[in-house]
Amino acid sequence: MQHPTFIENRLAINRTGLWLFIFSDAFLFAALLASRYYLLGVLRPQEVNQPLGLALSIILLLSSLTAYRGETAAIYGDIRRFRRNILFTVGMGSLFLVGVGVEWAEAFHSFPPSTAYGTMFFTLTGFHGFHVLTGVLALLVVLLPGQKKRLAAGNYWGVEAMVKYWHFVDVAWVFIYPTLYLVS
Amino acid sequence: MTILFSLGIVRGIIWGLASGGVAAGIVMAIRSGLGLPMWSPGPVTGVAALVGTLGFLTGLGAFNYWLEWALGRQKEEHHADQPRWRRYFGFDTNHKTIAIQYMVTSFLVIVVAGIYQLIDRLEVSAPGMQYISPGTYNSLMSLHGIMMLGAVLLGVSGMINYLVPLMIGARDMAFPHLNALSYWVTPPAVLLLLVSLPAGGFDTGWTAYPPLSARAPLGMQFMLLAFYLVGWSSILGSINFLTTIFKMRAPGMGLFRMPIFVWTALSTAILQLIFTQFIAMAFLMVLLERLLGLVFFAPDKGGNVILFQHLFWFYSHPAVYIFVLPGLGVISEVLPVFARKPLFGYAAVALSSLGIAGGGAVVWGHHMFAAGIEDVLRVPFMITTLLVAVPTGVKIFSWLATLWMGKIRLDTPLLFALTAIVVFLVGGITGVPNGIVPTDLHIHDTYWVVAHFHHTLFGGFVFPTMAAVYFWFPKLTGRFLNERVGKLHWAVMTVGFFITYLPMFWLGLNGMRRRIADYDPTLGLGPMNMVATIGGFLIALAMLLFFINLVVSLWRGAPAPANPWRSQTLEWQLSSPPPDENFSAPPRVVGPPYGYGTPGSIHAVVAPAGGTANKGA
Amino acid sequence: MPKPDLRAKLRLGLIVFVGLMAVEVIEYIVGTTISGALPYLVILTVPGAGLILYYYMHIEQIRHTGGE
Repeated sequence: MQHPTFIENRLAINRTGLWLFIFSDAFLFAALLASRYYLLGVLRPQEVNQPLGLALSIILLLSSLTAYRGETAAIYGDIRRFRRNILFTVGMGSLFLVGVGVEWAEAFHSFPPSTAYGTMFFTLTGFHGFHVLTGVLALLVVLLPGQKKRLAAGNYWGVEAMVKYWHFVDVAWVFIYPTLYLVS
Repeated sequence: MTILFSLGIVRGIIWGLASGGVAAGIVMAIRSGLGLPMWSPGPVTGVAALVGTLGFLTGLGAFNYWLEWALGRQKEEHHADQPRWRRYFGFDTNHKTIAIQYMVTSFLVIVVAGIYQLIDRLEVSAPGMQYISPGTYNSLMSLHGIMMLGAVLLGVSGMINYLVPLMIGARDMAFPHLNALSYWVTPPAVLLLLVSLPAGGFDTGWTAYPPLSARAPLGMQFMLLAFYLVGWSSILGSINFLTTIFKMRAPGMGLFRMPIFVWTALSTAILQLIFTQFIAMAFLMVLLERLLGLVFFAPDKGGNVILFQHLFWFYSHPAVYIFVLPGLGVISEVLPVFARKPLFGYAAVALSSLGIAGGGAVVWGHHMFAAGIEDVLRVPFMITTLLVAVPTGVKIFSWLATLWMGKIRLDTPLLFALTAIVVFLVGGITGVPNGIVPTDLHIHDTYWVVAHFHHTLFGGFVFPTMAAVYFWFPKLTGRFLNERVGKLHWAVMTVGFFITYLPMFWLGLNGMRRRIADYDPTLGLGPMNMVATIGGFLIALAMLLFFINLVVSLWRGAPAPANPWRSQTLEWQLSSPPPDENFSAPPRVVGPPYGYGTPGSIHAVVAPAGGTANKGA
Repeated sequence: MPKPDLRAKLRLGLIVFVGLMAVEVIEYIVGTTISGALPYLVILTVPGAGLILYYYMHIEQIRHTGGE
């Protein structure tokens, strides 16, 4: 009798794992968002820096666009366009972190961590900022020279994974931004 | 010496200690730079513990695979030249190795946590303070709780790790390196739990409610960090279990041909994946409040302690289903084999696991009836709580119907499974008064709750795990456990269990509060407490018998054939112990998993290493 | 079905981005001018998150059991 050998669809397995991770991680933010509404309802201090909040959102959305462009380019084998776009994404991510730093410096005076709103503000932006930081590092990994050979061979799973994670960080911000800056 | 240093765990410990020490030094340097007092136990030990854990994992080689991947290199795996025992002390990616690592760690933690509680049981066996201070009592009681829960999580992961890939016909887990990482996060966590006691312990109980936990001694912080690590182990493990179950099944293994244990593993993993984030976040919030002065739970500054309870129970209620579901799966595996009958109502039992998981996700508020929860939430939570009895009842009735008219062989695995059913049933029934608001207000925080909870965990985890060990030990090792010692172990444990926990129902109804080191002698609670203490020591004796049986049988037990119980599921169609790669070729699944008593019924066709197909029967 | 070429996909990404920007700006205006904006914001985050999940993260992948 002829035995079939094990055929594993590695890409499908990896994707499943990544989606499950993202799904789980989403509940981390869900817990924080729920805590914000539970503690504070829709209370929002007047001191939040509205222009900066909008600017941060635009920066992050822009970085998602370039991440998408980079991934698509990688899939079609356009390595130069891929590197250019991912580098831009990394730059935008870093700029976002700088923006959060500015925001934190202001927030220390207007709503310090020892107030309820400050507590939620620093925790939410802190956890999200940590995700942005890890996302930036992840994107830097796929720019490493060692990854070139893999991309040339048509194995773009690394890029796909890091870019998906980056988009997830953006989705989280889509919920955090109104929660911290806009609700009333 | 070189052999010692080539062990992953030794390198890990050296790295861990070194990096933890360096991290502590850096924190102290930063503190003195900021003009703060250099030594502050909380921040310094907290950072040192986290960095030390990462250092331990790095030294162990846990990150090598991903590092190589990032650098664009990919080394071939080979560990065949190592002696077998050394795998268990290093970063090994084989799911069977990891499973045994999990189980051994779990048993070690159970021993420590059990001893803690025996000391406490001695203390409360009579009114008045006899042996230890109330503070020590509280610390031991709290650590008993959290360590046992950690041990149960480890045990569950161990069982799932060993059985699921074998049962679905896969060669390994979907992500072997992630799997090994999930395990190796837990030894540092166990160490932190052990350090917690000398670091001052904590007096909150395992629930760690603020505001007490926000100002408890340093031991609290170690416990919170430890459980945070266990939580991540749990989440990463669940990603692996789910992906394996979704993507790695053998040809023909449709969802409704999976053994029930796989179904329960699936339900458990879903719960772990979603809800662990909430307790991780809740514990992290307490840590942030302790270390950085945030005010989540400080009522005077706009925080709210009820928030913690919501987040905590949002995980910790589903968590009890994480603990018991695989155990219930084990019962469903063991019964058909020893009754020689198909499992009654397979599809209903399979779906009831998901039903329990789904129902269990929306009942967390019943822990907070007496805690100042919003009034409107009480009745909805009461109704959902009682509804969980429906899928649980499906399982109980299925087990009874499976036994009915079966050709029953009373071997040790079945004995433990039968005890488990009885105990779990008592646990379920005594849970109803807890779930009903008016009665719960009276028995909340009494020994009634303690007795109920231990019935569910003994019935859902401890006894089924014993059944599982006696059932699968031949598969793991190629040797039988001693049957006579096994039956003695079963008898002592069953009797000891009921002597311990049945009196606690009476104690609870008569006003014995949980988590107290002393009580009023005029209440007349002394004698029953003494009985419970005697029972506790009987359970300890039974565990001692069990461990002796394990060690002696491992060394000189009777050799076991590949399929001693004439089971049909896939793991028994392999040699005992199974080969490293499990299956040399994908097995072909052709029928239901429990076709016992039906002539010609076959679950799967398995190809042996180099020969003709071996029909499973 | 022939695959659309790289340029078309990049253009799609840009269109999605414009949509996202529109959502964000509307959110900003709603949030800063209307009091009691919560229900509107809840409604607005759905297309925002949905666009990213669908077009950028290809969430429909999880329905193909065999991957691509």
